[in-house]
Amino acid sequence: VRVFGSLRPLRARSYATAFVIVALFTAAGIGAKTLLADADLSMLLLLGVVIVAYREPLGPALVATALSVGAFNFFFVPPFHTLHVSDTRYLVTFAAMAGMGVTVSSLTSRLRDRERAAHAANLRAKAEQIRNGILSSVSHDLRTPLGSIIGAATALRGGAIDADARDEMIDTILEEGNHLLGLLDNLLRMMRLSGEEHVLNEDWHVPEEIVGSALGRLGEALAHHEVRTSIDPRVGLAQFDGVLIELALVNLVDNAAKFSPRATSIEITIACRDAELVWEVADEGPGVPMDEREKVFQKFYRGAGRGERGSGLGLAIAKAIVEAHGGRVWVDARHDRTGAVFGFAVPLEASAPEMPGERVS
Amino acid sequence: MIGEEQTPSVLLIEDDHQMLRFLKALLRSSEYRLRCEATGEAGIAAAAAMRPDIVLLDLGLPDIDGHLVVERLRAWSLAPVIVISAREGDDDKVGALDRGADDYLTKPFSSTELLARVRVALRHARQRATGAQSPVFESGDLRVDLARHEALRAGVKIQLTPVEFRVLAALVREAGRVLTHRQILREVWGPGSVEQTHYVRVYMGHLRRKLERDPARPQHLLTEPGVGYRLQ
Repeated sequence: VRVFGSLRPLRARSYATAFVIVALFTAAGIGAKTLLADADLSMLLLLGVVIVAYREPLGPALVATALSVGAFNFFFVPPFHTLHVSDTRYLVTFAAMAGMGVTVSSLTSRLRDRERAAHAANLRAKAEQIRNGILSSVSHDLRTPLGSIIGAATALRGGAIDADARDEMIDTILEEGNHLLGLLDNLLRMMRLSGEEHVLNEDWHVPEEIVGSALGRLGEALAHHEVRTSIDPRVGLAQFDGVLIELALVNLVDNAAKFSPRATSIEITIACRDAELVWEVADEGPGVPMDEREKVFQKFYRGAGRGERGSGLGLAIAKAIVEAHGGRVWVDARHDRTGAVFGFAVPLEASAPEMPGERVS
Repeated sequence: MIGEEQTPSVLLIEDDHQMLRFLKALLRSSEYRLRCEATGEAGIAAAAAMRPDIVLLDLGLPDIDGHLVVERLRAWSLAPVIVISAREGDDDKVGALDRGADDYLTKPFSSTELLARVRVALRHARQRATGAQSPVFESGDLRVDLARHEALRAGVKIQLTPVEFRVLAALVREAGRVLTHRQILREVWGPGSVEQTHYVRVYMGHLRRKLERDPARPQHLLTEPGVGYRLQ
C-alpha cells in the first residue's frame, strides 16, 4: 500500500495520540489499582479506547483496543508484568474488552463518516442554491431586456405604428442593448477579478485624469445630475491600475446617479490622507441604512425597491478592484445633509518618479 | 488618390455574417463603394488589387490574426485602417494602433461613431496625400494654429512651454484620431522614452489646466483609458 506523503504525518500523529491516551489511562489504573476491582480497571481502559475512537480514525482506535487489552493483561492480571495468564477466566474479560473496543471504534467511525457525508451534502446543496440563485437572476436579467428588444423589433417589422411609437421602439432597442452590454461587461469583469492570477497593470497616473475619463465614460448616465469635483492640489502622480481604478470610480458614481433623485448633485472628492489616496463620491439620495452598509458591496446584492435595474455587481466590482490594490471601500451617511458617501482608499507607497526638466521659455 | 467628386471605396475585412450584413447596409446607404472579404489573405489580396481609400478590419479573422493584416498592409499601403473588433483588451487596441492602424472601434459600436471615424480617417488620408495639412485646429472655444505656433482659448492666447506645445501639436496633427502613449512619447521625447507614460499624463494635465474650461471634465483633450489620447 502506498501512503501519500501528506497523509503520513497525520496518521503517525493519530497513532501517537492513541498510544498516549492508553498510556495515561493505564497509568491512572496503576495509581488507583488498590482502590479498584478488575472490572473497574477494564472499564477505565475501555474509556480510553472510547476517547481514542471519538477523536481518531478507525485504525488508531483498533490499535488502542489491542494496547488496552495488552496493558490490562500486563499490569492488572496476575502474574503481573508478564503476558502470562494464570486464570483462564481472564481470557473472557480480554475477549469482552476487545469486542467492546472494536464495536465502539467501528460505531464511532461509521457515525463520523455519516456526519461528514451529511456536512458535504449540506455544503453542496448550499453552493447549488447560490448557483441557482445567480443563474435565475442572470437569466431574468438577460431575458427582460432581450424581451424588450425582440418585442420592439417585431413591432417595427410589423409596421403598423406611428412615428412616436417608432422612436420609442428604436430607443428601447438601443437602451436595452446597452444595458445588456453593461451586464456582460460586469459579469466578465467580476469573473476576471475573482480569478486567482489577476495581475494589476500598475503605472503612474494623474487622478484628475481618471476623474475626467470616468465622467466622460458615464456621459448620459449623469445627464440629470450636477457633478462637482474637488481634488486636493497636493494630489500628484499616484501608482495604480488606471483602467481598473477608473472603473471603480465609474461604478460608484453610476451607483450614486442611479439611487439619488434627478436634479440633485454628486460630489467627487480626492484627497491624500495618512499615506492613502482617498476617493469619495457623495450623493443626495436616501442614504444606505446601517444594516445594509456591508451588504451593498456583495455580489448580486440589490437594495430594496426603487425599480432601478442594475447587475448587482457594480459595487462588488469596485470592492474587488480596490482590495486588489491593498485598499478598502466603505459607505457612510453624509454629515452635512441626507445622502450617502461611498469611498475608497488605496495606499500611496512609492514616491513619484522624476519628470524630465524643461526650461520655461 | 481620392478626387473630391469620386465616392470613396471601402474594403471591409470581416467574417461574421450578421456584422457584414449590418455594415454593408450602413456603408452602402452612406454611398461608399464597398468590397467585402471574409479572410485576412483575401483581404490583403483585395487591397492590392483595388487600392481602397480605407480599410475596415476585424481582428478575429479565421485565417490570420488581424494584427498581422495591419502590419502587412502597412508595409506598402498608406490607406487608413480602422480596426473593428470584439476584443476589448487594451493590449489589442494598443497593438493594432502601434502597428499602424489609424483608429479602433470595439464591438458593439454606434453606426454614427463608425461613420464619423471613417470621415476623419479619410480626411487625414486626403491631407497626407495632397500635403495640404491644415495647420489650424478649431473646436468650440479652442483654436490651435501650428504655423503661427499659438493656442487660443476663447480668443485669448495661452502661454505654453515648448514641450507642452509639442504634445499639443502631435495631437493636432492627428486631430480626431487616437494616439497611443507610445506614439506621443516617441514624437515628443524620442524613442528612448517610450516607456515613460507618466510624462504624457503629467503634460496632458498641464495642457488641460491651461486649455480646458474644467480640467476634470475635458471637452477636447480626451483620455482613451489604457490606450492613449484623442483631440476632439
